[in-house]
Amino acid sequence: MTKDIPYRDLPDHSFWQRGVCDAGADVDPVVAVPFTIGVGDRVATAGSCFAQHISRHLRKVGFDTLCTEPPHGLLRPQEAVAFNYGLYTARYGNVNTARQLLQLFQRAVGSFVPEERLWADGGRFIDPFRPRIQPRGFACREEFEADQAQHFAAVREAFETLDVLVFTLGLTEAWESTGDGAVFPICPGVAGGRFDAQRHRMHNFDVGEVTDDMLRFIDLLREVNPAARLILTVSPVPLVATAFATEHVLAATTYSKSVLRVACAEIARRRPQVAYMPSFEIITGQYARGRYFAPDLRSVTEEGVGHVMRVFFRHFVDAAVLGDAPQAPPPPTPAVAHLQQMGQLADANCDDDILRHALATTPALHQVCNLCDGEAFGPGPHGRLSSTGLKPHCERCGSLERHRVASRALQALPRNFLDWRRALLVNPQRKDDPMPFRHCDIAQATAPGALLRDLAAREDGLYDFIVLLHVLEHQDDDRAVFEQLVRLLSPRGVMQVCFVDPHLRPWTSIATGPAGSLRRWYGRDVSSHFRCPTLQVHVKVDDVTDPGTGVVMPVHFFYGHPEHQAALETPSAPTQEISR
Amino acid sequence: MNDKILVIGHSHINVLTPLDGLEDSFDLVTFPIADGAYASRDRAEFTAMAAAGHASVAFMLGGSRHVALGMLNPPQDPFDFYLPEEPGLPLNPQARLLPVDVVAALLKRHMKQECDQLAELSGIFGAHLRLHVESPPPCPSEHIRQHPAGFARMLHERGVAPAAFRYKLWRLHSCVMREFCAARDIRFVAAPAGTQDADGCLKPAYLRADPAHANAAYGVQVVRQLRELSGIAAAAPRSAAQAPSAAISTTP
Repeated sequence: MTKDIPYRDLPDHSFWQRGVCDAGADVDPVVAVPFTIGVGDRVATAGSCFAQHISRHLRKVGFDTLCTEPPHGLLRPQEAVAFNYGLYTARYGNVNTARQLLQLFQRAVGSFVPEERLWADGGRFIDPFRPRIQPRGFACREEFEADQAQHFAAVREAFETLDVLVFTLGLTEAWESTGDGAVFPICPGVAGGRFDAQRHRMHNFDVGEVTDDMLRFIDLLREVNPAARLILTVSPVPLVATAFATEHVLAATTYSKSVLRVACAEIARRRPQVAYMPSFEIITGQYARGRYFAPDLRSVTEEGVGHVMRVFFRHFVDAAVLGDAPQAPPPPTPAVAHLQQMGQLADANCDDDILRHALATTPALHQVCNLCDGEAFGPGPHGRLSSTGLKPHCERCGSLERHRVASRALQALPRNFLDWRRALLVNPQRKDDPMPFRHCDIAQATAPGALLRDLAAREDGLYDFIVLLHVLEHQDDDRAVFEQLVRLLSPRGVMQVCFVDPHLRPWTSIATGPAGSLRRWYGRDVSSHFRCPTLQVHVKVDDVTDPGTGVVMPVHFFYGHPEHQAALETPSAPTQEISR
Repeated sequence: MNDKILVIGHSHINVLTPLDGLEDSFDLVTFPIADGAYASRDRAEFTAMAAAGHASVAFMLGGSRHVALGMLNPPQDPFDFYLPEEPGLPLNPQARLLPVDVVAALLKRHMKQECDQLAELSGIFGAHLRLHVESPPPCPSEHIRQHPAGFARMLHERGVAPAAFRYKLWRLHSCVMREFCAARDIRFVAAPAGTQDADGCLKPAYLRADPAHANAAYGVQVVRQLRELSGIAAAAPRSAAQAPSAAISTTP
């Protein structure tokens, strides 16, 4: 006989046995979310140290996180990290408490100017509110002031333009100024400044204070950005220490996390478009039996972070967003490739979960080369794998992703669109590949400046189709080369260009290689970089899937007459087929 | 033991090569050029030189990374920074501010090759008085525009970077090199006094038809410095500033 009680029709997740014990290792405690992150949404990140994991994993899968204070394009990733660029949306460092977040907003808009706004320390200048942002502090007062002004502008831009803020609440214990209540992320004296018991005191925020601070912040945020949505999480990382001698750190941690968890529920209840993501529960839940903590019982393992992010992506992110995420990293120089390989080995454990997840949710790909029908693939140059984790090098014809994508883009165009055309192949890397043109000429970039000279010697309007594959990146004066190529196009001409994926960067940057050689990384500004509007050149971008690896790469078509747009949009255009 | 100074360098050694009579007290060693860049020399060659017993060895290695990074305006995202010793120098209002430590890190990476080479040579010549000659100060903007050499096309498109920025980058470049030398007991020889104008750029008397290098008159000043530091009696070169330009004219 079945009892008629309210629990009878509840779903599995309502019951500990079915929702936790029987769920295996992949417990998913998210039931419903008030919104999801869609294509084009700008996602900002902030919070305590656990938020760095979230931010890093979002970027790792190609998520276009909002970054208003990015590293300069000349910096290498490890240099950017050393100076704390790109950890979060702006260079604010860890924001451990709700009060700190509120005051960050207030300081950025100028409504709160702390009395203690810099610490002079041995000729260097420390920002009390991001004391570790600059490894040795700022070199002079002028630099400190100018950098702070620049930083605040980036913070304002972040708050004004974000669509979703992912904020991780980390602590309730904080050191504050006795004078004006300014809250410091770290106790003064630890990473700069000098602790003064007259000027600094410990404050342990309670549920009401955390809730009120967050509500005030949300209200201020929505004054400048009414549509802003928030995803709150609680850091599962225990306190490194409690400031209260009468408390055990374990009890203090429990108090702190409890306050934050309750506050999150209260905030989500009292403001619309605020969601709670249970990362704390995923990491600390009994089902995990503590395995998501490193031997120090404090640091969260990559396996644990992977679990959190799987759940996050499953519920909060539209599938189309991940499908649109840029996938192809730029091919590295040999030295960079070596470092990347070493890094990949070291990070193998971190990537394992995400990679397995990505592969598990990707339809099994039958690898085939569209150039030679080869089905055997090996590692790419320097042993690299493609961004889908598959081997990119066709063992029969030697092609890589870019060769197959470029060819596939051509194969997708109607034969009668190409077969009458006189084509110019610029620096072809594989001269024996079949070309569907009436005639092909070749121009080679044999030495610095040689390509420009070669092109300049050719007649106007000579070609109906021009093909370039990773060529402009290496030209000293790439714009001059581009202009020459445009000049060579006939009135019905089209230029097909494959860049090293420009979706990855907001703007074009330049790097100096060996012997002073130049190397550009094109960004999303590629059209303006080449002054297409001035040259009256149109551009169409197709995302084309490599049948060998499933990697999606953009192929650019430049043309002079808008009517080409329709001709290039063929039913067979091989746009993206596989979502990650 | 001889009483000569051995100078090992890249393109900035050009300030010395035109000087007549230099061979009396200097041995100059540069590097072969291959594929548009300086190639290395066999370590054994330097080991043999070290056995020749020069009074001192002066290095004029590299010294161009500040030119590569900052002589012309970049196509995108120009940056500027404060020089802590002279924070009052103007900032480019169009530029993004980078902390000077970030710029120094960038420079160090780009200078790694010349620093590695200097470290290796310093080891080979460990028993000598070792000197490193600071690269010459930047050229005035108008001079660069008039003598752009191989930078002409890029200069036309991008323009010369502000003089204050170029001066700061040169100073920072020198600061990096000075610290590197100090850690290896190499004496850093600063640019000769009186060779800079009010903007910190080379005075007209020390310019040559080149956007990045000093002339033989500047070389005379360097020779004087090296003689003094090496304890070698002065003997003015027989012909100095009017000497023809050197064969090596490109930035390394």
